[in-house]
Amino acid sequence: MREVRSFILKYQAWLGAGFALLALVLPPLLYSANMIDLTRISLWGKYLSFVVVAIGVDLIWGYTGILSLCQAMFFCMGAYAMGMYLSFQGKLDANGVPACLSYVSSDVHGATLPWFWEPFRSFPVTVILGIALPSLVASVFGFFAFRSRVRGVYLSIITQAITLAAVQFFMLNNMRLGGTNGVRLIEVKPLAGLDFYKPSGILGMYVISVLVVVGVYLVSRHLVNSRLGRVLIAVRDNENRLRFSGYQPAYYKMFIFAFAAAIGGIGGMLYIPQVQIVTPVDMDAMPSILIVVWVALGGRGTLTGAIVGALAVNLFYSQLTSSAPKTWPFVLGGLALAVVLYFPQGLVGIFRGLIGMKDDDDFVKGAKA
Amino acid sequence: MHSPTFICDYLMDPYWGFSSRMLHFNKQSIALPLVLLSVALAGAVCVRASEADVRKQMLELAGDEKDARKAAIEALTKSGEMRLIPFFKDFTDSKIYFWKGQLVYCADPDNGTALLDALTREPISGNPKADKTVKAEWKALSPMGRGEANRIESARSLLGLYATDAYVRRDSVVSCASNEIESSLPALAEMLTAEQNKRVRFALEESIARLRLLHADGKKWTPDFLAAVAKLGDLNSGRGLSKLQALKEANLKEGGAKDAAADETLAAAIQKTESWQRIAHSCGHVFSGISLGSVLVLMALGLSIIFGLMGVINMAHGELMMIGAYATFLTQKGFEAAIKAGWLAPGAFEWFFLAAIPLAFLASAAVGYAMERVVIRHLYGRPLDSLLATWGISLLLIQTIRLIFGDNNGVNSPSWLQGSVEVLQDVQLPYNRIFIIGFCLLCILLMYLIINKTKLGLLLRATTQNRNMAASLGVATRRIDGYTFALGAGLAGMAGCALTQIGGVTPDMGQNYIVDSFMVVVTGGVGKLAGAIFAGFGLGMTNKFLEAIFAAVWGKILILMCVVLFIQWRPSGLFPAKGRTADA
Repeated sequence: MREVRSFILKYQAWLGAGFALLALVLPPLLYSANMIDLTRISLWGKYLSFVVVAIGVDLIWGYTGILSLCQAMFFCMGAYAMGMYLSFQGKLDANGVPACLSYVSSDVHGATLPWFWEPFRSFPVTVILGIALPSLVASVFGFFAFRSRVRGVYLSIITQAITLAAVQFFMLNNMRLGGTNGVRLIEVKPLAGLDFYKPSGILGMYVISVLVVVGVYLVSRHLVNSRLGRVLIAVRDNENRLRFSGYQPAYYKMFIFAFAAAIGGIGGMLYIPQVQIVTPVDMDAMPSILIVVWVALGGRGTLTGAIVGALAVNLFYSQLTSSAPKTWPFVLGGLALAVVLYFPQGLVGIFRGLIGMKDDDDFVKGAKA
Repeated sequence: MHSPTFICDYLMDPYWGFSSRMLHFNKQSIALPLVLLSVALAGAVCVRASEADVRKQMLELAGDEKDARKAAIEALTKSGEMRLIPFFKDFTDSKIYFWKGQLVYCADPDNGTALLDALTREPISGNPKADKTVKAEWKALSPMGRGEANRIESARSLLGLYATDAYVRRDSVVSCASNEIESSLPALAEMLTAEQNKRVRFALEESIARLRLLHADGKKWTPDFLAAVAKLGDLNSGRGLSKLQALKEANLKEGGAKDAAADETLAAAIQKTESWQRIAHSCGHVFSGISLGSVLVLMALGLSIIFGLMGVINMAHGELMMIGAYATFLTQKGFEAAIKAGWLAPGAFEWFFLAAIPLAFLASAAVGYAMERVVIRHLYGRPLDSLLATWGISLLLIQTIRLIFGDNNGVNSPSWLQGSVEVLQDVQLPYNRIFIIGFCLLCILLMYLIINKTKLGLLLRATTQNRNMAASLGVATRRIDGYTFALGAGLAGMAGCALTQIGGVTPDMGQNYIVDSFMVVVTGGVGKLAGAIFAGFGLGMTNKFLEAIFAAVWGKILILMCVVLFIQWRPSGLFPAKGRTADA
């Protein structure tokens, strides 16, 4: 085991790069060898978009100790933004209004385009908004919540309330966001050579997803290893002591909350081209807690844990729902219980324990304090 | 000679609703002075017929001759025989059968209920049960056309005008107008001169005005129509409102302003009635807000005590409530089975709900206690982890119940919880909601006593205030935790039991209430009885009010926003605990 440990420690970067390369190259190769089909690749692409949002949750929960139950809302905000852009490239009605909007319009004279859809005609603006809107919402909420020192389970409950309010808000037909049907992409034209209904688009989106995951991972890694990252861990372990040492935890928390929201938005923007639909139900209470469960299972406080957890739970889910769908809630509930009771350090933690690797920021110890 | 109900109604008339409903359906058999008075005043309309005549006409009604049936209905209408009112209803509901030369009533032939006399509801000679042999002897009654059913319905309304029971009289008066029985106008007008009961008088005036407007089409106004419109306006009649609105619409279509005075009267009447209806509606909203709030208080009390004591947010609290609801459902099933097996008298079913309350408490408390022992005990000092763990438990509970019971189960209301009280004109307070409010208040009182007057309460408060200090003084804090968790869970179970009376029982019913009860805990502050009570009722009412003013969805969003803003203002809730810790 000692050899494995020193090997991993020595070639960490190379191993990571190797995994990324494998993820990047293997599925397209398998596809061209006809060993897997396209639906599988788009499924994996979808899971990669989940990985992105999971990394965000790991940053705020695993590293900073804030259990946010509204990450799915940020995810969906990104998905809606990109969905609005893509619907302009899809089927339009006579007035040039995207189909998903005109279907739910009660206006007999044909739907008109609401003003806030206009910016989403342009791709760069969409990407900026898809990142900026979630982090703006997160900052505003964080400003109020963290400054009045709402924390712990209180904060969790309030974030859950916010995401539920958002569900109601997005469901309203007269909010002009597609109502209960959400934003559904219909007959989207090929974009920059990517046709979303052909192998080129699906493989292309997969490759983009892998690259984004790698990018987000590297940025987050840099962040947690920086001085800022140490402050975040201090917030988690003993916020009062940090405050007494002259820091203002509220602004660090606000920053990381907004940052995680932005990452969530990026995940959402990757999600919609591969799934073609996003509805208000996707930001309900359940999806948000699910993300937390992925991170918990993978191992919080380790960025690899978020990636491993999100992929493991989702792959397991797709296996189980085809073979024994009724058992899934039992498995999920059981997983949540087991991970909390028996292995709070998650899969990555178990692996680290197996090879005898020391973890310099032992999450569970910190959370207990 | 007065029946108890009559006296009761008469004495309690100003507050109508609180006369006993239990006595409501027991008589109508004896010719009472009031009937005679009405009969005399109504002149030839109604002459008391002998029972033999009535029976003869009833047989005619069940016969095959169409014209004879029509004549029989007319004759029966004039008979003044009150027992025909339930008979007509059973007749249209096809619960009357022709058997061995007589008409019999059978409530549920498929389950072999006994045959009763169609008129008197007394067991007939031999009193056979509706088994196969008896059913083979039944002669089918000829099918009833729509027109005939309407005629019978009218006959029932007209007969009911002479009932001694004021409820029946009023219902009949209202249905005269609703069924557009124009021929009842003279009888109604006569009745108005003698009627003493205020509610019946109100219904009479309203029905007369509605019937007078029957032929008004908004084109031509006669003074008679105008008077009727003005009358409906004076009465704030909700039942007449739709007709008035229809008239106004027809008027507008015609171009209006042909008769400015008439238009004005109409508009005034509509406006006055509408504003009253609005008031009545908001009274109803406040009331359902209070009853919703009282359920929320029960839920939140448990959550809040548990949170205050252990710092655990119990995401499975809604599911503990659901367990209580299913315990109620099972109690009902158990009672049904016991009655079928003959262990309990059929009347006992009425009381299953009372038996269900302690059972619901015990079931939920047991589950809660088990949860605490098996899971939560191991997660002290890790509040976020216990949140996740309880969420896992809630998934397990929901899916288990779903696999056992399926997706939707209903609990019946016992008959003493059905119906409603009309405290003001058009303001109906359903009995089940009144019951829920009373029940919750009782539970809150009990909780107060437990927390403030018992030893367990003392130890609980001590542990909440300072766990380490309490432990070092010899309090078995872990045991207190277990008991408190069971107590909070039991409260949720009773909330679930109460909820079965106003909604369906589904495996995920807890999810609908859990967020609201979290909000109550957050606004009310942790571990505070008063906070939970104020916040629960406050949120329940605000919720209903906002729903009434805005669309339901906006109400929800607004309330969540309000709570988030409220937290800014008072981070520790309405009644913050006084302390010197940095985390307070």
